[in-house]
Amino acid sequence: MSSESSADRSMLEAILDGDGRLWRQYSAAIPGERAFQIIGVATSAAVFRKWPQDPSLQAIVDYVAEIDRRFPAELPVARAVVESVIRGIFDEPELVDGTSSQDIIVAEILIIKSIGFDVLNSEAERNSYFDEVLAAVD
Amino acid sequence: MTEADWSGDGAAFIRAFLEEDDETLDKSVERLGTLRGVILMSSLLSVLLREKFGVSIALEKLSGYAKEIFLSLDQKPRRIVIERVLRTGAGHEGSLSGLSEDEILESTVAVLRWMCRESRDRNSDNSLLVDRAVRLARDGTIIG
Repeated sequence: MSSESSADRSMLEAILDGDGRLWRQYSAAIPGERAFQIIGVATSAAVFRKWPQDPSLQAIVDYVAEIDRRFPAELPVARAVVESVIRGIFDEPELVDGTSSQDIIVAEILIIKSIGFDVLNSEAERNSYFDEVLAAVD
Repeated sequence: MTEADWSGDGAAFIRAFLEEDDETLDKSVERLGTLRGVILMSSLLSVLLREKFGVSIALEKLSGYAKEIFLSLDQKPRRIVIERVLRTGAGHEGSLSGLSEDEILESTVAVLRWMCRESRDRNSDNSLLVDRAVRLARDGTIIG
C-alpha cells in the first residue's frame, strides 16, 4: 500500500472511530481536493449502505434527528445541512446550493460516523467499505 | 399586551402583511416590537398553511411546495431553509435547529409574502384569516 493510500485509509478510519484530532492530522497530510473527494465518496457509500433503495423523506428526517441526538455536542452545523447532504445524494443535489463547503464537510463527517456506527459492524465490513471508497477515488 | 392591543395593532400587522402595506407594517412593528412581530408572522404562516393544506401536512407535500416557492422567488434564500420554515409552520419540531436568526427571518418573510399573494387569489375578504392569526398569536389556538 502506498503512503498516500495508507493516509487515505487512516483518515477514513479516524472519521469512523470519531477521532477528530486524528482525522484532522491525517487529512492535513492529504491534498485538500483529494480529502474532500474521499469524504464525499465515503458519505455516498455510507448513505447507500444504509439505504440501498431511495428512503422516504420522513426516514431521512428521522435519521437526521437521530444524528442530532447521538452527537449533540458535535453538530455545529444545522440539521438542515445534514438533511440536504443526504437528500442531495439521492436526487436533489441543488439542495446544498448556498451552503459553505466547511459546513458540508462537517455534515458529511457526522453522516459517515453515524452510519458507520449503524452498519459497519465487523472488521471485514469496514475493510470492504474502505476498499470501495478508495477504489472509487483512485 | 392587552386584548385591545392584539385586536388593534396585532390585527393591523396581519392585515398589512396580507395586503403588502409596508408603511402600516413598519408602524405596527414599531408599536408591537420585534418579538411580537415574529410571533404574529409565525401565526400567520400556520394559518395560511392550514388554509391551503388542512390540519395535517405530509413532509413530501411541504417539500414540493417549498420548491414551488423557491423557483418563483427572485431573491433566493436556501431552498432547504424555506422548506424548514414551512415545516415549522406546520408544527414539525426542531425544523429550524442550528439555522441563523437572520436566515430564518429572511426566509419567513419571503415565504409569507409569496403565500399572502397566493391567498389573495382565493380570498376576497381577509377578516377570517386576520382573526385566526391574531387568536393563534394571542392564545396559541386556532378556532374553526
